[in-house]
Amino acid sequence: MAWKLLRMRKIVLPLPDLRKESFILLGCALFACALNVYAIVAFKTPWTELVTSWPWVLGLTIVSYGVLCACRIFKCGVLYVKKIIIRQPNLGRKS
Amino acid sequence: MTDEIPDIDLAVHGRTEHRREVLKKLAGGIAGSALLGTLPWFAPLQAAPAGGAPSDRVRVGIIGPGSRGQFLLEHLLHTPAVEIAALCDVYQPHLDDGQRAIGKPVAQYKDYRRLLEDTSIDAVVIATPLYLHAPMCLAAFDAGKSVYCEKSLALTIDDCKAVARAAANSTKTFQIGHQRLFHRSTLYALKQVMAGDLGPITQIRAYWHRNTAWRRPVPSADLEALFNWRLYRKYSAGLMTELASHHLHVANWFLDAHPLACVGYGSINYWKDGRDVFDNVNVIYKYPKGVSFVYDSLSSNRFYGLEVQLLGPKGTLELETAKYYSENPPPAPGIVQLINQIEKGTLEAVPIGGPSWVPDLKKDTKGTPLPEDPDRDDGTGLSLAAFVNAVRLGRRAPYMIDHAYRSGVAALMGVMAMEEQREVQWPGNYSA
Ligand SMILES: NC(=O)c1ccc[n+]([C@@H]2O[C@H](COP(=O)([O-])OP(=O)(O)OC[C@H]3O[C@@H](n4cnc5c(N)ncnc54)[C@H](O)[C@@H]3O)[C@@H](O)[C@H]2O)c1
Repeated sequence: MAWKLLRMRKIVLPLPDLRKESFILLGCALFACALNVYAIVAFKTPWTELVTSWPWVLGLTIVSYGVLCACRIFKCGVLYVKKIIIRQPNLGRKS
Repeated sequence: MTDEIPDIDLAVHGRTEHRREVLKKLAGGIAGSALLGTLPWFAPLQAAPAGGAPSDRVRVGIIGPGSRGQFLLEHLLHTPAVEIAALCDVYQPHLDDGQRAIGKPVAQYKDYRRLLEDTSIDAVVIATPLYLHAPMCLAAFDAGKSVYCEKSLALTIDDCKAVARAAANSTKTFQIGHQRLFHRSTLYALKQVMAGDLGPITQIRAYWHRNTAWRRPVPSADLEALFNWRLYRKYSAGLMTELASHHLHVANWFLDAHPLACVGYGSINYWKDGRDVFDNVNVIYKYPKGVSFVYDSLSSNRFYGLEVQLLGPKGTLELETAKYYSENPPPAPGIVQLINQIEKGTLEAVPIGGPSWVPDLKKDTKGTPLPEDPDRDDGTGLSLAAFVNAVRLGRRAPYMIDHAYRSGVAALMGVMAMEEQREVQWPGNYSA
């Protein structure tokens, strides 16, 4: 039936991929923390902001992870298109 | 609530039982606080709630159940200990509206003097056009009634003096309809002023802008004055008594003074429709210690709406939008500043030469909201509850006479300054 076809497939992420994504997310979190530290030093604001600014750090982490994902998807897309172009059969016609 | 300002929950649609509870809580909440010591009008609310005995009932007559009168009536229907005993109006449809709201038959009068003859009535609420406030208040005091009179006090300064004097000499309760005295966020603002959050108040600015003719549709030509009394000088003093009196009242209250003098200009520059009160007014009042109150009101533009602003070297309070703005707000967290800087750097054009001066544009800070009443009562509900309790307990409220007199007279000083094009001095106290 049509609704069965439309049902979303369960995506299972293999362990190595999960580990890779976790590392990327951790990297993003570290980047956001580093930005917070830089901002505290640059704008001479209290060090308590290391704790009190956690919603901003969390937000930055998610945004940077999202941006990275978008870049990776774009890269995959480019590689896929390239592969298709390279695999085009040579029809033996002369130009 | 964590501090001494009581939870005020007296909205029109609140249940009576709930409101009783609130009043009880309120009584406990305000006892012994420094701020509330300066607000004697809360004292009647500290009394034990009314019991079921007939002596605990307050029989009220409403004179003028028009637009404001109906609103007061609805509040009174939810105020503990009140029995609405009579209505008086010269316009039958308004009597019918009042009757419908009450839901059971009460005595109806066309002449307020007949209502005042009813000895079973303890108090009257006067919500009639301005020119009737003085004769009605004076007659009510003569008849031994307590009086809740809508603002502004009277149409002339002599009438203001006469009513204030009669109220002072009466053994009964007098209260003026300045509901801001009971308005939650205004009380918080007062608390901040007393705590020195503004520093000394150096200026008060207020404006009330509307884009409306202020004219009501009239069923027949002979009802023009009855419906549109606000537009004619014979019955009203226009924008100053109808609107400015509220903000003048706040200025007098927060500065704990009356204005010493005022100057102003007014005109009819847009609504040339037969009215003879100004459609725009601009008045500056001089207060002690060199403080000014700057006021203007328009009927042809509503962009800025209404506001009253208390300004001092440390901060600003805006009472209508209920916000406090510090002159030196704490900086945003570093990370927010960084994000803002990045955003600015990428989205805004970079100026070629730096400006030689930075325009002193309005500060773009968010401000700290003052707590509002959860049911958005503007103070009217509590104001009526305090009046009724004072009547029930046989307490006078002399401080109310000062509030009424100062704001009523200040509004009329502004009118005189504009009409006579001269500086008008404070005309002295009512006992003088
Ligand atoms: N505190 C506030 O925020 C506030 C708000 C609105 C109005 N008011 C004040 O309330 C008062 C009434 O304003 P309103 O907008 O309700 O006006 P309105 O014209 O709607 O009502 C006035 C009522 O008085 C009646 N009336 C007129 N002459 C009378 C007489 N001789 N005897 C008995 N009744 C008479 C009218 O028929 C009408 O029902 C004014 O003083 C106004 O300034 C105060």
